[in-house]
Parts: sequence; C-alpha cells; structure tokens
Amino acid sequence: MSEVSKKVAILGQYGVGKSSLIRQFVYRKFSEKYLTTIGVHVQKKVLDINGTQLAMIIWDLEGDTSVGKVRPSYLMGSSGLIYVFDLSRPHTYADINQEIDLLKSEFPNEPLKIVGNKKDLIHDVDLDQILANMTISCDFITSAKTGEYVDEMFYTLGEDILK
Amino acid sequence: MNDKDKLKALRDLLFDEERKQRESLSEKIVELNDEIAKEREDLTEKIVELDKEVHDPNLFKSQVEPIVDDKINDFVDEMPQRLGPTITETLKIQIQESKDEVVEALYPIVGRMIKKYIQREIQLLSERVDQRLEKAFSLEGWWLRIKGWFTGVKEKDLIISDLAEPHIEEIFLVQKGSGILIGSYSRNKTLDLDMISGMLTAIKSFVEDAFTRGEQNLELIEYDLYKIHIQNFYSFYVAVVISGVLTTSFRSDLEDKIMEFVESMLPTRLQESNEDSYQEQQFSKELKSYFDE
Repeated sequence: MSEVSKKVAILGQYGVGKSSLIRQFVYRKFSEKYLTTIGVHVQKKVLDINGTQLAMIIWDLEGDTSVGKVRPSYLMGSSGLIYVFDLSRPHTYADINQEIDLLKSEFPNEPLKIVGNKKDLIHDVDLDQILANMTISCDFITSAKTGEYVDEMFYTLGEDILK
Repeated sequence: MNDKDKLKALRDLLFDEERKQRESLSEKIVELNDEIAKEREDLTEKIVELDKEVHDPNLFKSQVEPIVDDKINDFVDEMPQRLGPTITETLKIQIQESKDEVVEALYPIVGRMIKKYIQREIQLLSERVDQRLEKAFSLEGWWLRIKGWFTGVKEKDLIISDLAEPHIEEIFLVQKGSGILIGSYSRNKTLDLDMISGMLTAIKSFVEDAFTRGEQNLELIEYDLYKIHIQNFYSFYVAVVISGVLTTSFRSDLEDKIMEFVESMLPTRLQESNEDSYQEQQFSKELKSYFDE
C-alpha cells in the first residue's frame, strides 16, 4: 500500500471555525470555547484514499482579514488549500471573490475548496438566500459543531490532491 | 293465642335465618375481641422487651454494632466510586479559584527541590573539574592546553565540553516550505515526527519572515538542555537536535558531516522526492547508518 504526505493549508478570517473544522476532522471533538490561533498550528491525519495512505499535514493558519496578509512562507509548498467563511457573519464573505481570485493566481494548480461553515447557526431559508446572493460557488456547507460534511470536504480535497 | 303471640310466631317464621346469622356474628365478635386482647398482651410484652433492649446499652450495642460496621465497610468500599468524582471536581474548582494560593504554597517547595538539584549537579561538575585540574601538569593537561591554543577554545570550555559531551538525539530532513518530512533519525522515538517537522518549519518560516532582512535563514534554536542546529540547502533543510554542550568545533564537524552526507548520499534524489513514504524510509535508513553514534 503506497503512502504519501501532503501539506494542506486552511485559511480564512478570524473566528470562522478553521481550527474547529480540523479538531472535528482529526479528533471528533467540538468546543464552543473560542481560542484564537496564533501563527500556525500543524495537525496530521492519515486518510485512506482508494488504497493510498495520504498523510494530510494540515497547517491551521491564524485568521486574517485578507489572504494577501497571510505570510507567504506559511502557504509555500501547499498541495491543497481550504478557504473558510462563516455563514452567520456576512463580513467574512463580503470580499470572497477577490480573496479566491488572489489565491487562485498564487496557486493556479493546487486544488482549492471554498467552505461555508457554521451551518448549525443558519435556517435553511436563510442559507438558500445567502447562497443565491453569492457570485461564487461554494464547494461545501459544513458545521464543525455537528460534523456535517466535514469528513466529505477533507476527503474530496484529498482525492483531488492525489489526482 | 293472642295477637302478640301470633306476631311473635310470624316473626320467628319470617326472620329465623337473620336471627341465626346475628347470633353467629355475635359469637365471631366475641372471638375477635378475645384475639385482639391476646394480641394486645403479646404486643405489650414485646414493647416491654424492646424497651429493655433499647435502654440496656450493652444489649443495644451488641445488636446495632454489626449493622453499623457493615454499613461503614460498604461505605468505605464504595467511597472511591461514589465520592471520587465529586472530590476531584471540588478540588479542581478549589485549585482554579485559588490558583495564586496554590502557586504560593508550591513555589517554595518546588524552588527548594530545584535548588537542591542544581547544588548537587554543580557539586558533581566541580568535583570533575577539580579532578581534571589536578592533572593540569599531566600529559592530558598539556594536550588540552595545546588544543586550546590551536582551536582558540578556552581550556575551561574544553574541560566542560569533555564533561558534557554533545550527542545527536534526532535528525530531521525536511522539505522547505511544505515542511514535509523527507527522512529522520531518532535515538528515542518521541512525538509524531511529521508534526514536529511541520511545526519546526512553521517556526523557521515565522522567524525568517519576521526578524530577518533579505535571504537569511534560522540556524539555531535553543530550548532547555537541547539545541537544534539547522543547516539549510536549496529545497530542503537538515535539523539536528543535540543534547549536551554544543561547542564550536562539534558544530563545525557536524556541518561538514551533513555536507558530506548530502553530497555523497543524496545527489539528486532529494530534489526528486515526491513525499513518498518508501523514499522517506530509505532516507531514514541512510541517516541512521551515517549518524548513529
């Protein structure tokens, strides 16, 4: 069985739930307590993707108001990227188009997942309204609290990385 | 037969059955009364006996004590399960609420322990240095002095470095940027090596971004009794965790050894590394065979 290690960077604004998504994915845990990430925190999870053992080294980057402000060295060598926004706070996705364009210009060949998190805080009707108003397509609507679509999001990214 | 007698005869005829029942009931009531009276007597006797038992301390003690003992034994057996979580929780809350007091209480104890340990270690070191100095005019002493003149390292540093010789504890061969581990060697298997190499790269990236100007690299990290020597190459870096006193000469030798290793063992393979675990195992084997002391 072949094994590979790949770096994945997860980024987005403050308090959108990046660390909570990783915590849910790696440890199956969720906490309401908000602890801000300083700098970067590295986590690891090994996924079995179609017989290949993928050691996903996840770099949980501290939240920043813009992708442009993230230290370039933290993103260097990433094989996959995850951009997270908070469905319950519109200002976290107000400039999402520019943010994604910037990421794609820097990393044109790396798979990227756009993730709307905190679905548990939103009613279905409001969610439809939010998605209808967005001009960019969101890859996953997740809830780090309930775990909804968290595994699917990371596994899909893993599959895309190995393609 | 007058009317009165006729009425009586008629009544006897009509209510004979009821009369018999009444008589039977009367008999039963009498029987019950007798039984109640007997029961009452029994009860009175028992109450008198109980009263005696209760008021006789020795008798009361002999009967109650085994029950109380059993209960106490049960309580002692069940105490850890029943009260354990409550006591732990209460202690946690108490400690959390009075952190300063706990620290105040522990500080002198921990301080004394550390002081005692340091005193003992210094005493040991001092004894060893004394032993060496006693040999100052021996052949070994002159050798150290000559070594000092040539290497530029003070004699006392040479003595101390001899006493706390540096040892390679771990080596990480890490891809720059991604922080992916290309190979590793560890004397003692510690934490997840992938995560260490990731965090090491993150620290390195942060320092290089934040505190240096231009193309400069982080080359040394110190923590407690260990030092991490970092040697940078184009697409990867080598991080070596060292215990003991890291002297200039040891570091210089180590740098040469790493250069040799990279030149001779990994001509182009490092650049071609595709983060494959098989390659990681190969590099790890080579690191072990090259650096194992």
